Amino acid sequence: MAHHQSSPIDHPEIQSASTLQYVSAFVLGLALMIVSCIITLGGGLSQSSTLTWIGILALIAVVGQLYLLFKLDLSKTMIWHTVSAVLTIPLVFISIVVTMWMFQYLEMRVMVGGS
Amino acid sequence: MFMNLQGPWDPLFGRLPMLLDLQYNNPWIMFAFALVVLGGGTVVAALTYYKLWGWLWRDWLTTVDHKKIGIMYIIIGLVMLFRGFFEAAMIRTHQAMAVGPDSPGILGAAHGYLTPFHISEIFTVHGTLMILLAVTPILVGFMNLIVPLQIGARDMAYPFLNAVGLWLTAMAAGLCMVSLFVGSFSHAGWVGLTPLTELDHSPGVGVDYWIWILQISSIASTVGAVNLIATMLKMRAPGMSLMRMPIFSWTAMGTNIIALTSFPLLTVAIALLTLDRYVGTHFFTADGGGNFMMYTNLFWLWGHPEVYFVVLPAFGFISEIIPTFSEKPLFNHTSMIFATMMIAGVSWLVWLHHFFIMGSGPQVNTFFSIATMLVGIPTGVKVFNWAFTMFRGRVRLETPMLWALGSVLLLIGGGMTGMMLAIPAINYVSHNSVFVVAHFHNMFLIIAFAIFGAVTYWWPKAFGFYLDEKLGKIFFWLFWGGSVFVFVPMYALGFLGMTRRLDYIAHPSWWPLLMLEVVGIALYAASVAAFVLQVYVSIRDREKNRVRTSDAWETSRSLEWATHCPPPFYNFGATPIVHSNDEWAWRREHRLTTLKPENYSDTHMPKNTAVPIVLGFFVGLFSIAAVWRVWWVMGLCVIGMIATLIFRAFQKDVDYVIPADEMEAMEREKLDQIDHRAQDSAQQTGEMGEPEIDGHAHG
Amino acid sequence: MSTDLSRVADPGSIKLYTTEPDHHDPITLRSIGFWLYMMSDIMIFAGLFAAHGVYGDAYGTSKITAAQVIDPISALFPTLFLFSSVLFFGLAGVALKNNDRKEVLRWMTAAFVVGLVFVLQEIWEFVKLAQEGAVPQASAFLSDFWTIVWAHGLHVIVGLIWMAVVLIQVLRDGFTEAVVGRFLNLRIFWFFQAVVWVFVYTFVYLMGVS
Repeated sequence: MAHHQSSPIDHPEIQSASTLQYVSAFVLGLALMIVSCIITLGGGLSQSSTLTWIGILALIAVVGQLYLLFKLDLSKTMIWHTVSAVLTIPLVFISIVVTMWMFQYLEMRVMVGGS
Repeated sequence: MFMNLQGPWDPLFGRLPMLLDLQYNNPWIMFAFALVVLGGGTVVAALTYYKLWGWLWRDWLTTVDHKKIGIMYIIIGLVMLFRGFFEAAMIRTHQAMAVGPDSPGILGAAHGYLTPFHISEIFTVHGTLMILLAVTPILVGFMNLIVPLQIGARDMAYPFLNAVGLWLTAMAAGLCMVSLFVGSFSHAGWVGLTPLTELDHSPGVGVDYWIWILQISSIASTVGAVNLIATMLKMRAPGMSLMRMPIFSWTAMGTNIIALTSFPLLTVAIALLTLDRYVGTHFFTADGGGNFMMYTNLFWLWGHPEVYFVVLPAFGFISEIIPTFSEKPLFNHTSMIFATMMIAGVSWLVWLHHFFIMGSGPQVNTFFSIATMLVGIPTGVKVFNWAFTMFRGRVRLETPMLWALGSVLLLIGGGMTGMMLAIPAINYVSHNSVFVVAHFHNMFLIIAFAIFGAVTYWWPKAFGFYLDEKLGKIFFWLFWGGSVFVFVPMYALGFLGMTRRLDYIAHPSWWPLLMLEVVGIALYAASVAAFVLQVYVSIRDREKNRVRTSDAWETSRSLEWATHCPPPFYNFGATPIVHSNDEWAWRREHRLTTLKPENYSDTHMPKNTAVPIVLGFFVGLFSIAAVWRVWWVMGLCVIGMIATLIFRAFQKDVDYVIPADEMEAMEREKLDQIDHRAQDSAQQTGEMGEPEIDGHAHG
Repeated sequence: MSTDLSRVADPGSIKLYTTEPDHHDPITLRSIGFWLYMMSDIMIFAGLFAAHGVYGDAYGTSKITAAQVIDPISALFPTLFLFSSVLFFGLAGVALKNNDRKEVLRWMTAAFVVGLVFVLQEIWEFVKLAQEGAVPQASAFLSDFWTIVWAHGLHVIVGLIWMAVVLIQVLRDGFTEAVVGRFLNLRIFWFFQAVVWVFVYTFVYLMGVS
């Protein structure tokens, strides 16, 4: 392409790579998954509180990964990445949570599906 | 493999041996076949006779120019719209004929002239095709054609992907045409009701055709959405902040955000149904723990955002046309942007209103009912903005303005009935009645009116000459009459209790209203003829109707009018700098309408490539093989697709430079033409009018 | 309108057209487009997880329950493999930042191999399941389980093919703009597989046995 005034390696998205952050993402992700696994198999908690806790841990893991791996922030290079992620995440939750809500009531009332 | 298929299957030909048993004795299919062969044959013969194959390949089939791609999208859409109209006419005439037990039946039907299976196929294909292969390609085509020009860009962000999207859409349309003659089409409604679409209940290939058409056009829309959003985020001309972007571009933004996030859910719904039909999973079956309402849920999770996907660009068209022909800026540009984005946002919270009667209870229904009514607020803002734009403006009722006004009037009717349907109590009564059908056709007519307005409005920009004004007005009034005569009686029939998708009408007292609808269809048919004639006459008299300057309507407001008609492949000789919301109007007011920049610079342009059409070929062949379950061809096509993409990844020579002096020479020639035309017309009228473009003033 | 006539003293002095060639940063242009595609891809998983919320215990007449087919402890191995592969690819990115071609190739190969191990391990796991009769045709739950895990698996396979292509290109062409852009997009894609896996592990594996 056109613009050879700078090497592609100088691009801020390449320059943002960092060993420390990638290692932290790895450790954080793995540690949280192991903790979740222990919580679930330990059996000390009721089903709903197990689900709450592993849900929270998963959320922490994902937010951590989004920050540490993708470097989502408000800088000039990354602003639109961040904005599009912030706009998409609610849609993910809407489609999952509202669907489950709808079907929970549906099963109570008409007994479609389930076992 | 996996499934017990009805009928023959062999490893080499898949289910194709089924065709040996089919009998082609249906005169309607023979008629359609003859029409396609005749039409296609004429085109092929003409291309061969005039030795245009090379031109077609070089200039169109391998192009990555967003304007040509946009035009091809619109042509695909208009051809499909024409076919969809035929189906509509068949449904209407059949229903008017099959009223009461004594009504005659011909061609193997007990009543009317279509057998129950056949009319089911027809209303299914009518819905699928009108939404996904007619309206969507036309709107995507306009977004392709106009958005880069409006934001002062030379091309889309990813010209290659743009061509891929086009060829995927073309393959979906092609698949729809193939289904007409080879095998059958789905009979389960365009929404594909489960478990009716499961293999147990629909053992033929019809549902498979429908599945792959939806799947391919869904992927094409996602690809297009990525492209348009990135173009608007990153390719705007200097000075054009996001808030200065013209409203049509903003509606394109809203639409594509919707497309980007909602089409994947259609992909999921269809992919799970595909697994059910091809592998034997139990997602939507009635047994094995399957849940057929889950399909409806996933489908409408896409389906409702899709409604706003198609309506937002139509609002964009209206918002461009009304200010131009009111000779005033759009009333409150900023509130229009927020209204657009709010519609896009709320579109995500209303999908259950398509199946209130599923029975998920008052809490859930109330939530979705209120969310649905909220859509009325931003839409109302838009209607008032358009009204205030016209208020104290110099309103000129040229054809595009007529279409835009018709569209706004229809929006009021469609919006009111939409509010009625948003109330669950009413919805429980009217669900599945033709009242609903009349409502959503009313909404789609808004889009159709806006589309024809846009066709008339941007035709001179795209081709350099005007469409015939007189025939355009005849077209408009016939189309308006058709809409009134078909859909007002349909609303009434809905109140009388007529359900949708009927192949036989048991209630003779409905006959007069059904006949009124046939009158409407006749008016529609006349309007189609008027449109074809209009295009023919305009092309014939194109020299007489040449656009003189860059600004065809002389009161246009946005940047697409700041370049030649038709725009050259590089769009702008030099990239314009933006100073105002309505840049072109601003320049006109300040007498700065020169098209000649201080200097030209080297410009990078993408090279044409055959990769997208090859990729499209593999996708098309893959889907036909999938419909007929010829596994080895599917496998080869997947390998072909991956190989094509890898080939593309290794292509290095993908763009080229237009040197500044060459650009200057090309621009010189075009500017001279404008000067000549200005002089010619000045001599004709005998007075020296004010030329719109003073090519030398700021040179 | 933000600029009006009264402030335009001399219309001739207004700059109407750019005099320099257009500059669009091609790497950012590529990466934002691919990122937008990933948002779309995430919605595919949103749809699948929405379905999973309903199918999680939809066994129909099948006797096979989630607890019988899911072993969260052995599923920690694929977690380890995938996260390591992502880490190695990240380190390849660090090497790219330092313009060290040899290191880039080394870390990318490592990421590729570990990614391949992840896929092979998953295939082995599911072949075992199929032999026990836990095929996707058995119940809605199993259909859903197979589909979610393999939707993710398919992404990993596509990522591996892509990684092979980029490996060859780095080897052949070095760090040209096209190759660096492709590397960056692959990095987004590959990192996302780890993010999605967090959801798969938590809401499919752990939730299945809780």
